[in-house]
Amino acid sequence: MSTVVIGVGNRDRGDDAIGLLLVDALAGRLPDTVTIAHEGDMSHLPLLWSSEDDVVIVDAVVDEAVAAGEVRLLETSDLQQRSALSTHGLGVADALALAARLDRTPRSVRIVGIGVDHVGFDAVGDTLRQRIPALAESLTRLVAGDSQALGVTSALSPVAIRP
Amino acid sequence: MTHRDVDIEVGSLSRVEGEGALHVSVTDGKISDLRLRIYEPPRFFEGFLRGRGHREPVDITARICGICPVAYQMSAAAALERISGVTVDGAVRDLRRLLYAGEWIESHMLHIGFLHAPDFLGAASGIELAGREPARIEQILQLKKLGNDLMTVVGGRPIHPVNVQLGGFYRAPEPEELMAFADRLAWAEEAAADVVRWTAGFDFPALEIDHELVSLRHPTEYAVLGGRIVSDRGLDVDVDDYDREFVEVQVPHSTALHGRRRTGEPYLTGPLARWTNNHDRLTTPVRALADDVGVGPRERNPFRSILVRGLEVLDAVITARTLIEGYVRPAVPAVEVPPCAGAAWGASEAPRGVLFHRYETDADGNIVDARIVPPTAQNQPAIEDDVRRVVEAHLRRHPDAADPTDGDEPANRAELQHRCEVAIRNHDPCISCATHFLRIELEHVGSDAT
Repeated sequence: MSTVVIGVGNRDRGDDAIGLLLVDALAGRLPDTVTIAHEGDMSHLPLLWSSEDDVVIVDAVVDEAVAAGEVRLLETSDLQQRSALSTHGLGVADALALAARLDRTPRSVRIVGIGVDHVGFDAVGDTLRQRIPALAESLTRLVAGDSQALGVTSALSPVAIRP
Repeated sequence: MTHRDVDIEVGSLSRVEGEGALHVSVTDGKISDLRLRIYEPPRFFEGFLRGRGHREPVDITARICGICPVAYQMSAAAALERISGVTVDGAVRDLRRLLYAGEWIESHMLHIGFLHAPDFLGAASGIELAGREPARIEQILQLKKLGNDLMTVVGGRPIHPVNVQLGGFYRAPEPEELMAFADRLAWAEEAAADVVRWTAGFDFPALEIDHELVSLRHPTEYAVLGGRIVSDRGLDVDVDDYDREFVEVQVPHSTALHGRRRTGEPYLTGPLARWTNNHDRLTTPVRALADDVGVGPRERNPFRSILVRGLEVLDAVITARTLIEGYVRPAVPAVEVPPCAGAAWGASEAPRGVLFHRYETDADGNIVDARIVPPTAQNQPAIEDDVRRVVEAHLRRHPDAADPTDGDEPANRAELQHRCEVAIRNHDPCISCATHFLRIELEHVGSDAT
């Protein structure tokens, strides 16, 4: 049993790289924690953990209500299951649905969404790049179980965490 | 005579890559019009390759597809290296074959488990199928991930490899990095065979296609990297003879050019063609397993392409094991490919069929002209022909298929939609990397209508 922190996204699509970059920044900083930067096909996601693991998934959130760099803890039910049913369209929600059917639902799942404002065909924008150290610190505390200190009051109602 | 349009909405032809529609007109009980419409905007890759340096297409064209980027890289490299008179062989070529094996494994396992098998088992998706057969889908996912991991160790990442350059690679992996795959590949050999046996138990509709089967053929290998263009009807030409034998035709209902023989006949490329034209190049265990599951040296039923894909995965796994066991790190990871004025075709076998590239360069290596002929574009007429056969067979069973006064009409229409979708999915078309939607318009025109 361990904690698995998985960053997902695309390094070539601007701020969509933020999940990967944060996991890169966390590598080696957390004891008893596996960090994985997962690029590409979400269908592999269920193979990255066991049903005894605690999983944290870090991904970009495109939402007008979420400012760039703002952090939200999301529930699985908050994610839109796209059900495109081609792996081109698989998202995190589909991957978790797949995990459930494979009897690979982890012991716990926390989904950390990072607000983004720039999803183009280039590197992460300056706004988010400058916030990576602070965001990584927030994630470190979150993984360590310090979500109360970050202002999360309800797991059912996403609450913004400003690092 | 009255004219009646009947729209049938397939919520999503999920499990096909891209945006497409199918229009069928039935007049007096016979198909009068059938069009597989591809309406996605053109992507202009050939246009914006012009003016680029000869080293750039390997990276640029990889972005055309997230499932088969290696095919684009290898076909581009083949053409541009031919222009410069460079031959890549030895350990560097072996690494290319290993990278390509990874792509075949991941692409085929995706299609088998998530796109095609659900058709035979009455599931709406691979995810639904996972609920019924979790161990099987996990096995398929593990195989698929193995393919992506091979792409990562050789190509630098699981999709759109960044370690590939003209003439070879930027860095050759250390032998121990590849030997780390030994146990997984040994497992995969058993697992791939197990998947083939599983698919052999499916109930396959009877359909024998008569398209000319076109593929590459290599002197010693099951065709992947290079070779001559061959067919089951005796075609045997150099890839530079593409224009003499084939033509791309623009049709109003598709933004993708249709591939045809110069005679105007459709042809088929992909697993069935590769298998039929290269059966004698398969590894011995693959031929033995094919015999066991009843796949002969010529396979013409597109529904059974799922079996061929599985057998090709086994061949790719065995090839990968052999390449890794014999791997000696090359002294240099790439051969120098100097700029050169000229023009040449290059080709390789993408999982979905032959992928042709042609480049013309000036003395500085700048691209003057580029053409890319992907397998799905070539297969469109053949796919339309398959759908036509399916609709005709359906109309023979249900002459009033589009007549709303027929009490069985909704069920008949649903059955037809499903059969049309499966006929298209048999060929694993990659219409593009976008949404997934098929809309069927069945127009019934005839004196039997009221």
